[in-house]
Amino acid sequence: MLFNSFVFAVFLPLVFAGYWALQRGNLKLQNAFLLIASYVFYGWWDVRFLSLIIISSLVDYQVGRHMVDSEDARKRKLLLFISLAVNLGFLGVFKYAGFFVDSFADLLETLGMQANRFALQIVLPVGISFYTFQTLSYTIDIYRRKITATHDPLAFFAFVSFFPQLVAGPIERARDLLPQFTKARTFDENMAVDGVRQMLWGLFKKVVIADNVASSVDLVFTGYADMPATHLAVGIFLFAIQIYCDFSGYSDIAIGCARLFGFQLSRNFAFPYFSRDIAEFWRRWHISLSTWFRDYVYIPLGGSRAGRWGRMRNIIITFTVSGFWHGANWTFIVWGLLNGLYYIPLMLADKQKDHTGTVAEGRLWPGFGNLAQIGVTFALTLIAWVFFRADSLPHAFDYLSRLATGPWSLSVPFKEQILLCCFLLGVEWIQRDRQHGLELPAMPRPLRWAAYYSLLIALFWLGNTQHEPFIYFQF
Amino acid sequence: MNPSSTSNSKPLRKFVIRGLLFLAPVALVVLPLEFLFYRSGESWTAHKVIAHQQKYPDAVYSRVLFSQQFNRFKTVGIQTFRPEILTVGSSRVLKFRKEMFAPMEDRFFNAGSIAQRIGDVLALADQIQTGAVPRPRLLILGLDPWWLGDDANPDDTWLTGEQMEEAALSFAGHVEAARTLIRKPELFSALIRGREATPAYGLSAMGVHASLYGSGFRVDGSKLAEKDLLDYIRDPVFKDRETPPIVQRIRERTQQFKPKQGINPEALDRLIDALKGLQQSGTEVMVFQPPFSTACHEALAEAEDLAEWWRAYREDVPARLEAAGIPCMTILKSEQLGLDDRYMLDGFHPSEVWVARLMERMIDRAGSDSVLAAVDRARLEALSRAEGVIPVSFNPPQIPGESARLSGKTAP
Repeated sequence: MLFNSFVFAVFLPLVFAGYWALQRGNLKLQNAFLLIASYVFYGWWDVRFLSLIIISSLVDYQVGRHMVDSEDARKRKLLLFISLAVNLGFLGVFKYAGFFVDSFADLLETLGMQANRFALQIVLPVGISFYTFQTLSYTIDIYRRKITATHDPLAFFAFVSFFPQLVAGPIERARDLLPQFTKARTFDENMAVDGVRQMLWGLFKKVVIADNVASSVDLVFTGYADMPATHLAVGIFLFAIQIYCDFSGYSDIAIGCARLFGFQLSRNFAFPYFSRDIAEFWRRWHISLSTWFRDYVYIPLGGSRAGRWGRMRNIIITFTVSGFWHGANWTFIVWGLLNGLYYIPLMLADKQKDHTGTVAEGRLWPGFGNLAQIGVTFALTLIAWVFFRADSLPHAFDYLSRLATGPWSLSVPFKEQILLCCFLLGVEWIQRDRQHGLELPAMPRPLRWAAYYSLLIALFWLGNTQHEPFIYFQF
Repeated sequence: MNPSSTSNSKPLRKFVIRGLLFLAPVALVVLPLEFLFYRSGESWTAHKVIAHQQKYPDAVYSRVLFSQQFNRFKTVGIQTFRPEILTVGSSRVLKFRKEMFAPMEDRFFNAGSIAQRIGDVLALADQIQTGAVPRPRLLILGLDPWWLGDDANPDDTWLTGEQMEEAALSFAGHVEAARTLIRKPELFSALIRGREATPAYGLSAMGVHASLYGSGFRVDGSKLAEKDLLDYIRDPVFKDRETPPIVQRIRERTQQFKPKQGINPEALDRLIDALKGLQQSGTEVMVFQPPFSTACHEALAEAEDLAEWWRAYREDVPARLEAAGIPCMTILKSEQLGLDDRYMLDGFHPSEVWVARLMERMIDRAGSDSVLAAVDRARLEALSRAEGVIPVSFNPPQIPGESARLSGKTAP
């Protein structure tokens, strides 16, 4: 079920009403209701793949219980191995098997050997990368004795499959989200109202901006060979906005939706395109994934405790694996690697934590220095986005080479889409010290309502009605 | 221990009331609009429209705010009526009417507009073979030349997937309808008036387009176009009434007439295979090439970058079809039927009188074992030769003061 579909517009109020109608009853009943709603939400896409979520949940629930009861280090290790094998096994089969077969065949052919290719036609279950990482954080944290196992299967199953963030995050940690399933939940009107605002803003970003920009991006990336460099530059700028609005829009809807049910999810985006360096960008972009990789890959590798070369190796490995997480294609691996390379100079100069606050805080405009830093960082991310969007590495390199060699034309294409993007960036700049673009506490109510109605009108008039799936579903 | 969730019904009630208050203005706009959509027939589903036409056979249907979805409407029509005689093609076959097939009127359905490209014909043939669409005994196919251009994609079709989903039942369909209404406010008064009688014949109309212009599908799938009819009655000469005119499209190489080097051999091969497959499964197939006006023929003759395609369409395609045992009528000019351009509604849409004359030739061509052999030839001839017939209609509407002017201009 898509957040930007009519079915969800019917589903959400029904679940909301049913959920809060149970508030006088047993918390277990409320969790059971959420679990069923989440399975309906996921099964709407393909009911067969519910089995993967159920198996993952079942295995990790049992692993957690047995691990917490055991002091035997070997047994604990074995249990962790089972959890990793099952979850990463599913991920490997459903997401990466085709990639490995193709890459191995390519390698054999490069070495002049006969490759017996067979095509693996495996459907990628939506959201598998997200819920796998979420449930893995549970068993790993129990293994590290950072949390204890739950003995409430309903709460655990509901935690793994919680529908607002099931298919595209934010990737929640068990220590943050699971306790929320075991505590009584009170309806908080302010929280719910702000949740609706955040959902509205997310929907605007997705349906009005991302989906309207998508067709222009597709046009440029398929027909770039016959276009002037101006079009290519605009194409990649539009893609940067598209992917941001698509994914952060989803996160906004997910976070807002969870708040309607009394849950607080973690922040996933914090206006990343106003970052002054790449380190800050990665603290603001897909935060739940960046921190997951920091905690479960970078730090176990030695993190920043290692020497200079060790730190560089850890950074490169972490970013490359992060790229591979996004998709079984060399383009994503290079995208990750490139971001790692961007990061290293900052790390070596020990400047990766220079920019932790809000840019130009308390001022309307940034200074020239900040502006230049934002511009350079944005340009670096744009180059990396070419790899992310391209179908193959030759496609990406060709695109970049044509972008670099011109010819440039004076006419700027896709003016309407650029205008939409500028509007978005303008609003987000003004709101950059808030949680989302529609958090307007100081504004009088009539003006706030006018803003909400304006967004509704924009959704109606400019919204793409084709119900484009969210890009990150494929990951 | 299972802690209970905390009861907090007051803020919940307040939240719901605030939400409803916020949505009230939206509902005040949306609900009346939805009422008007439904009352006018705009948001009726294809099934409802066809059920209504079964009950009231004089009713005509065409919507304009919602997607017209000829693909869905005609498919549902075929599935409901299960016709033995089926015409298939673009809008250029829409003038075949049940009256032409007496005494088998009730076994005929016109699926004109269901096919916009070669892939649609292939998909429909496939659906007939698999039983998804009932098998007709006779299939008459109007073959458009641009379906076979070298730019044609035989796999492209609108007869499967999302495009077949009912727009009237989709959220997107309703949003698009409201947007269309804002872009074309002149349709608003027609929407408010609801289902009116058509302007010329006074038939029951479903959909704003049918109410406003008297243009729409009859129960047999054929198309009534009162606007063209009234225009001819007021000024009984040939006009290229399409927008933009067909001859202009040819000269400017736009829409269907973008430069083509020739025909797509794969598309033709697959078409022949599909039609032969239908024949072998018991469906008689007859192909015809819909006509063009004289000016269009002249423009096509002058178009060098269309020359090979146009030649191949006229010469090679019929030859290949005939060689495969598929009859193909190549009457591309009105004069071949002893008619003139007045029998064309525009540069490439023949009138019903023109089509009735074509039918006579088809019957002549068909063998004694053909379904067409059972057609009452005398009644067919009478249709286009009776008193009062004008080049664009068998039974023109009676408009005071116009009949005298039209006398002497009946069909030969």
